[in-house]
Amino acid sequence: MTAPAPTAVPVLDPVKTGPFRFRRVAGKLLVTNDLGRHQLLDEKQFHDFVTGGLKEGDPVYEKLKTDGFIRDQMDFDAIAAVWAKRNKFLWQGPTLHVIVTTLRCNHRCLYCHASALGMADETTDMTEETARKVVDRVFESPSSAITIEFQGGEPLANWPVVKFIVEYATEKNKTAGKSLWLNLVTNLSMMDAEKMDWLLERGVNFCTSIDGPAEVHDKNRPWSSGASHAEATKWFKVIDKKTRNKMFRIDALLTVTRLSLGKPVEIVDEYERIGARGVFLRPLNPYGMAVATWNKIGYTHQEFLAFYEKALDRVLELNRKRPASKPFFEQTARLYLAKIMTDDDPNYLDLRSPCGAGIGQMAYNFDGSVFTCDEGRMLNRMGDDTFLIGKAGEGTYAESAGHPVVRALAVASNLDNQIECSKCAYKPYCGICPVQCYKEQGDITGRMPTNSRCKISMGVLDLLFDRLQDKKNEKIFRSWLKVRKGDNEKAAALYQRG
Amino acid sequence: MTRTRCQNSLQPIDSDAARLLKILGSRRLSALQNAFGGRRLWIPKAGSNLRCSVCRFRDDCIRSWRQQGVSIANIAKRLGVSPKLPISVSEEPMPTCDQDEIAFVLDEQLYPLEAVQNAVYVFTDRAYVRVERAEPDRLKVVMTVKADAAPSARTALKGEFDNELIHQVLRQRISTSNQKIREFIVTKALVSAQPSALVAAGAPAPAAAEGDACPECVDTAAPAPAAPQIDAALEKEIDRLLAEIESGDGAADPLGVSVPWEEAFGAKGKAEPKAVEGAKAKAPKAKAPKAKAKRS
Repeated sequence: MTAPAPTAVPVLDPVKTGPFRFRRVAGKLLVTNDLGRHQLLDEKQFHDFVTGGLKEGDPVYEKLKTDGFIRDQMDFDAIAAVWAKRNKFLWQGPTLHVIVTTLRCNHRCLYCHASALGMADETTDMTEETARKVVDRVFESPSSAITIEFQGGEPLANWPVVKFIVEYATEKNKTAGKSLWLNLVTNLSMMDAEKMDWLLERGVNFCTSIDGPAEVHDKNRPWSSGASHAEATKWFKVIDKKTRNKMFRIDALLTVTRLSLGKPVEIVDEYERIGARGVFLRPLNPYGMAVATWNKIGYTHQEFLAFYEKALDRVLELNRKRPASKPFFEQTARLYLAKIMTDDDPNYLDLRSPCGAGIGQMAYNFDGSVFTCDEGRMLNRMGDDTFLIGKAGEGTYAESAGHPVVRALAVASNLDNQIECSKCAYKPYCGICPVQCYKEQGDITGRMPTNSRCKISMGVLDLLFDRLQDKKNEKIFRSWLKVRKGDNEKAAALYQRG
Repeated sequence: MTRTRCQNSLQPIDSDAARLLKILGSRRLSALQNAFGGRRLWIPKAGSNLRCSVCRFRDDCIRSWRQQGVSIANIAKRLGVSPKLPISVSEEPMPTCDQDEIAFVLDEQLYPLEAVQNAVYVFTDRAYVRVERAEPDRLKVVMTVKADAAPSARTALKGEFDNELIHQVLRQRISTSNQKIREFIVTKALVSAQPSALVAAGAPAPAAAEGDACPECVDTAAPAPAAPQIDAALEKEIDRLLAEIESGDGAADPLGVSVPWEEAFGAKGKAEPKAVEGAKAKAPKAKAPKAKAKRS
């Protein structure tokens, strides 16, 4: 058979039609550009835009001109400045430093991505000597802002080293003068008042996992010594109360498993019930225990997206009932919306181009081994050293940051090098994880249209652009970002030739 | 395998024989065994035209039906046979029409090779795909549907491919038309935000040449429009900016991400960055990343 005549392919106007990407969303055509500016057009508007048929004075034309889509109306100085602003992470170097103080853990989470060990095995406890070398290496990062994130296992199982790192990093920073953030990722089961007060006095942030109501959480996160949900929510409330109006705080997130799929409303309501500022819905990743338990707790991307849609709609519904000054957000959506609705980049390392592996983050194992990222460290636990780039106390920071693996990951995760991503309308908002590509599809470049992470990202973005068409939803989304209506319009004046 | 026993011999027989025994009864089964025992039998499906399928004029009829425009699927259904038989008899190329394989020829002047390759790439999760040159200016795409693809994916494959192909052609045109502008913006942003000579001079963009834009836009076989004159000016500017990067100290690491803090900023973080000279005068203030916990 011979293909039909391509009557639907319009001829570009080489003078008027600037760089853009497009995608069918919610019955319209979404156009976006490298600045993240976007507009939903109907078929005729799209055709007129592409062929240069839009007239000056037409509101659609004026908006496209404002957003830098009209080729002969572009102010290159302003556009380059905004491009630099949206991509400022390129100049920063590693800002996130994940430190694994131990692989021991008292939970047996069904999806444990870190392949944690039992509490009796102390061979994976980081020593103070190693911790000192790790902190020294962390402070070599050229970034003026440093986040040290304690991971595990359960970091509190090696409490003396957590204390040492907090004190040593704080002391070291008196000289370095960086913006230092400390995050403790903990299941809260080993928390006590003494530890909490000590950490709060030093401005440590907390992050915990709450997988929804007790019947879901306790099945996902078995704890032999008691009810994990009751303990986590108890400490969450206590710490949340103590950190109100402070720069540091406690956040919670959940990993969606098959057990969660039928309870999107209950999960969102649970987060509101415990007083959280929002909920962070994250899909399963193919690391650690999750590989072995996938048949029991895994799901397809369609199943996740169906769950996510119901949960997001419930979040929007709650927002309509709350005062505008107290929004309740969904964090995955919030990260995307920051990129969609503002010129700022939240520097979420999985949603950058290139990704943060080695150039935005580094992960330090209990023995001082340095990995490109936490995912690379997780693969190491599965017997794969591909993403090992050095060791604290041996070699130099420059050798790790300039390691061939880091360079390869930067090239692979640069969306301009990706066959489909480079032309995808969601490119300015998205990012790929080369480690997940490697695990799922056998190479770090991956194949984006067929990759499960890509399908979930596109599904979530489709949903967000669909919901954004409702002005009431848009107002709620702005409240999550604290972006006032008109802010973007003011900034947009930049894109017009003066 | 389910086993039962023959009523006469008391020997185990397989499930097909057991079903026959149930349908025919022992006397008729015995007669069947006497006539055909030990031979392989083909029993046509109910509703098929048994007489036609075994008729000695069958092949002539198939050729005649094909000449009359009867589809392969209809002939196969009429005879109660596999589609392979009428394809084989009418000497049509076998791969062009199989239940799980779709093949079609595309005019390369309408659909450039890069657009075709990009389009088939999108379908690699649902089909095994191959692009080959059928003849000059003709590309042949062969897609074999994967066994685990959903039935709905099989039926929609060709239509989805047609639409994807059109999108890819347009994407390629946008990319080609604006490549220099994008290169310029990124290069300029990476080097510095200083105004370029081009923009400072306020050089106006060229007006559209007469006939460049076609209101109906249906003639996609038309040659691509010539690159605007602005591209030539941008290219010179890009070369200048790239030369500026290469002349700096940090050619191998122009953004300075592998330069240790103390080396770049001094012991107290006060000194000016060294490796980013020539690349960017002022490094943007870093923003702490969001907590990115994977588990707890």
